[in-house]
Formats: sequence, C-alpha cells, structure tokens
Amino acid sequence: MRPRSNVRAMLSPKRVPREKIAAALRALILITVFAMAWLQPEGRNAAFDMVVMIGAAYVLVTTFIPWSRCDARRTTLVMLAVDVILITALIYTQSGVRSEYYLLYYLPILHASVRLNLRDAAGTCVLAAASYLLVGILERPESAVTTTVISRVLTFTISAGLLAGFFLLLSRERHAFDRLTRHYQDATKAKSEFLSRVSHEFRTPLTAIVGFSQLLYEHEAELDPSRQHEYLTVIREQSQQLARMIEDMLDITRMDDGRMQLHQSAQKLPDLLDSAMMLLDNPSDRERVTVSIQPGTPMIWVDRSEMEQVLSRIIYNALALSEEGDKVTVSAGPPTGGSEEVKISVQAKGLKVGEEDLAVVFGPSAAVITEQPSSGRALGLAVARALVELHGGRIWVEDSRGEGAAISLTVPRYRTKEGQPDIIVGVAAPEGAEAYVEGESDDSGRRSVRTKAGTGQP
Amino acid sequence: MIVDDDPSARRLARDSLKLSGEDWDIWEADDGRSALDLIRAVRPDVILLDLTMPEIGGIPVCSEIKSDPVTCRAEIVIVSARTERDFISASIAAGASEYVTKPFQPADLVRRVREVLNKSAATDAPGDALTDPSLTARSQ
Repeated sequence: MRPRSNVRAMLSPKRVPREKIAAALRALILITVFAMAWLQPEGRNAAFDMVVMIGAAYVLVTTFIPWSRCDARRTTLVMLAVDVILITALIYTQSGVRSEYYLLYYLPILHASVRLNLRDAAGTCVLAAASYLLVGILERPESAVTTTVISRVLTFTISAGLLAGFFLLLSRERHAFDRLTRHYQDATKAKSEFLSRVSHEFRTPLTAIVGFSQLLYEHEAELDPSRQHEYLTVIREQSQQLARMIEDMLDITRMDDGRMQLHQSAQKLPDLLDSAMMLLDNPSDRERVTVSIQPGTPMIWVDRSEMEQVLSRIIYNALALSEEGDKVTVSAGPPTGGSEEVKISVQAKGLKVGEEDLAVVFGPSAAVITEQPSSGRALGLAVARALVELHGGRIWVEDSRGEGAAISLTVPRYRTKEGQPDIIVGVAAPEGAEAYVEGESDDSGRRSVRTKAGTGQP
Repeated sequence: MIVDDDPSARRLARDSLKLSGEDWDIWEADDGRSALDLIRAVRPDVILLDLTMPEIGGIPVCSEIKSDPVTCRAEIVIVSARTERDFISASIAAGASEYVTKPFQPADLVRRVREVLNKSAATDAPGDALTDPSLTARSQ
C-alpha cells in the first residue's frame, strides 16, 4: 500500500491555486513600485501622488477578491483593463513617455498569459501599446509619435508577446502532464483492481488444494482408500483449474499489452474442433460433445492455436454449466446472405442465459474483466470473448427455447483470391476431395492488433 | 453449520471438523436464504459463513443472524477468500467473531472453532439449559 500512495502523492501534489500566486505576486510588485514612486523625489507632483494612492488602494482591494466565487475570466479582464489604465495614468502624471514606468505594462500581459489564453494576452498587449501611444500623442500633439515611443512600443510588444507565449506553452505542457498523470493513475487503478480480483479467484482452487492435501497428509492412516481417492480427484481437478486460470490471466495480460499477434491462416473447422476437444482435461467430457457441421461450410480465416483455445474454453464452459450427462452440441453452417462470417454455436441442454458467469461476460455491461469475474470460469470466457473480438468476430449467448441456451460466435471465413470458387468443408464433403485446400503461408495473414478487449477500459 | 456455495469448500470444512476428533453435529447450506431457515430450525452454536455467495452475501446473512433473538447466540466464523480490510471490518461490524481467509490450514480452522466455542461456553455457561440439547451442536 505504502509505495503506491507515495507515487500517487508525488504525481499529484497539493498545489496552491494559480490565481492566488498570481494575485499575490501582482500585489507585491505593484505595491513595491508605488512605494518607490512615493519615495522618489524626482517627478513628484500632486496628480502623480493621487494616482499612486488610488493605485495602491485598488491593488490592495483586488488582491483580496475571492477569486473562486466569481467568473474568473470576466473579472480578470476588467481588472487587467483597470491595471493598464492605472499604469498609463502613472506614466502620464510622472514624466510622460520618457518615464520608465512603461515596464509595468508587462505585469497585466503576463497576468493574462498565466491565467487566461493567448487571445486575451494579445488583447492586453495591444491595449497597453495603444495606451502608451496615447500618452505620446497627448504629450506632444505637434510631432505626434516620437522615435522613442515607437521603439519602446515595438520592443515592449515583441518581448511581452514572447514572454506571454512562453508562459502559455508552460501551462499547456502542464495540462498535458496532468492529463497523462490522470490517465496513468486510472490505468494503474484498473490494473490493481484486476489483480486483486484475480488473486481472489485464485484462492478458490487453492483452498481445495491446500486443504485436502493437508488433510491427506495429516490423516492418511484414518482415511480409507476411497476417501483418499476422492481427495486426490478434487486436488487434481482444482490444480487443473488453477493452471487454466493462470493461463487465462497471462493471455489477458498479453492482449492488454498489445503483444498478442494473430497468425491467421485458412483452417478447417472439423480439425480445429478435434484439437480443441483434445485440450479438455477430462477425456470422458469429450464423449458428451457432438459436432455437427453442415455441408458447404467454408474454411475459416483464424489463428489456429488461439481459436483452439477459444473453442475449448467455450466447450469447457458449456460442459461445466450444464447438467452432468447432458449433451453439448457444436454446430456450424455456411454463411447466409453473402455474409463474410461463419457462425459457430455451442449449445447445451441445461445451459441458461441467466447463468452468472455468462451474464458477467456477455451481459449488457460489456466491460469484461475488471468488472467482476464471478468465478474462474468467467475469466476463461472473458479470454474467449477478447480473442474472438481480436479476430473481428462477435460472441454472444442466445436462448433457443426449450433446448437450453447456446454460446454463439462468428469468425471470418476464408476467401480465395480473384474470385476462385469457395473452398468448403463439411462433414458431408467426400473424404480427400479436391475441395480441401490447405491454408497458404501466413505472409498475408499476419497482423498485429492492439486491443483493449481484455481490460474493459474505454 | 457450514454455509458456502462451493461444494468442495463445504466438503473441506466438514471433513476438517470431522477429522479433528471432536464429535460435532454438522449441517450444510449452499446459500444465504436456506442457511437462515436452517439456522432457525437447528440453532447451531457456530456458523462457518462464506462471504461471496449468489443472491444474499455473507455479511447480510451475518447481520440477520445477529439481529434475530432466536439465532443471535450463534457464533459466526467468516471463511472467505476476500482478504481486503474492508471485508474484515464489515464482517466484524456485522457481528462475526472470527475471520478465516481461504486458503486455510484445516487444523487452524478447527482451532478457531474450538476457541469460539470455548468463549461462548465461558460467557453463557450457566442457564443455557433452556435450549434443547437435541437440536444444538456443541463441543463435548
């Protein structure tokens, strides 16, 4: 816990609001300037003294405005305009265009660039330049604008623009950093939640393994052989389950990182199903599965080993979620209506759409894994779903009245190039017929896909 | 009484208690609703309760046992795979006496059950002749 909270604290330190810093700095600088102006003997006159006094009072008042409670932009704009007018009055009453107080114009411009946007900063800059020109015009109406005024306005505008741009870049950078930090925090949180859920899932098979093996170890003499065998069966099943869960978790992590590469090639569905069945741990389970593939079913364009995993996981879940002794039927047929996809359905008599695991994975809340795997099985189904989606297919549960529900999925069909006749496979096709064409090497079929399917993140 | 939706977990708890050499009467329930009915009928001394169960979770079941005057004397030992602090404190707040995390050592589970039984025997030793001994599971 501790290191994580440290990282979090480091990533989002409590910042003093920028408004407060800006207001305090502005007050400090202006009050210092006014104090210096007051103490300076040169250029003092009654009008100048009055401007300095009004200015000081105004700065003090504006410093204590409760910024959080008013429309920040409008208030700031009004304040900046008053700032510029005040500075102009200061310059005019002191020694006119020759006054060094024109440097004070930088303050409102920087203020605008820190707190507002580039447009407002530019606007403030123009206002300041115009005010300074006005001072020049008012002072010497005959020569209008002197070279001093022009050069000062120019240097002033350029340097103010540069400074404002710099501050704006800085604040934009920080926004980007904040966004990145937030994103990183969300991802870390999702990941740690996922890990904590998964570790909880792991405890279920572990409980049985640890508990029963300990009982066997401690009470071997008291337990009759049939009981011992029973315990061993549970231990064996649960360790297989645990191994599967670890495999699933690794798959999810791989998909999540975008490291999952599909090596798609043309595959014959019956072959795939045979291999998928070999992956079932319990040989007697295979006898419960019937495969029915209609003639005319085309070859499919999939990653062989991943699709074997998908099919075996789905069959395994259909077996686990239906009654012992119920048949599980895997069926597929040719695509209808010119579709580019082949639909495969795994149907089991006792299967219900409302089953907890199915609802979690295929339910309306598509956010899969981080949501709530209700059991180790849900994890496996989530992997199946992510893999099918990686292939560009869909997976869903449908209720076939009275016959129990079916888990259905679609996978892309294989199409030969340049409009050659479709290659079809089906149990009814004659053995060794020419229709069987092996998939080409995967030079064109290799693709790397980044996916978020595994995480349920937006 | 063992309440858990996972049959192998129930089996493990039952056999652990049986093999401990104590002569305890043991009942099982696989969800919160049937557990509450059974608890009212048999009034066990100790209830081993899982937290994550479908429909009614362990914590509401725990609160309900403790709020019912008929069943509130039963000691509750939570046996759960959840290790988060929140779950532990919520269980204690709901009236559980002990919290065992899965996976557990069978001997450890038995030890906790014994402790809880001893504690309850010490607090209300006199005067519990009112309860029907044929319906109560107690340690010898």
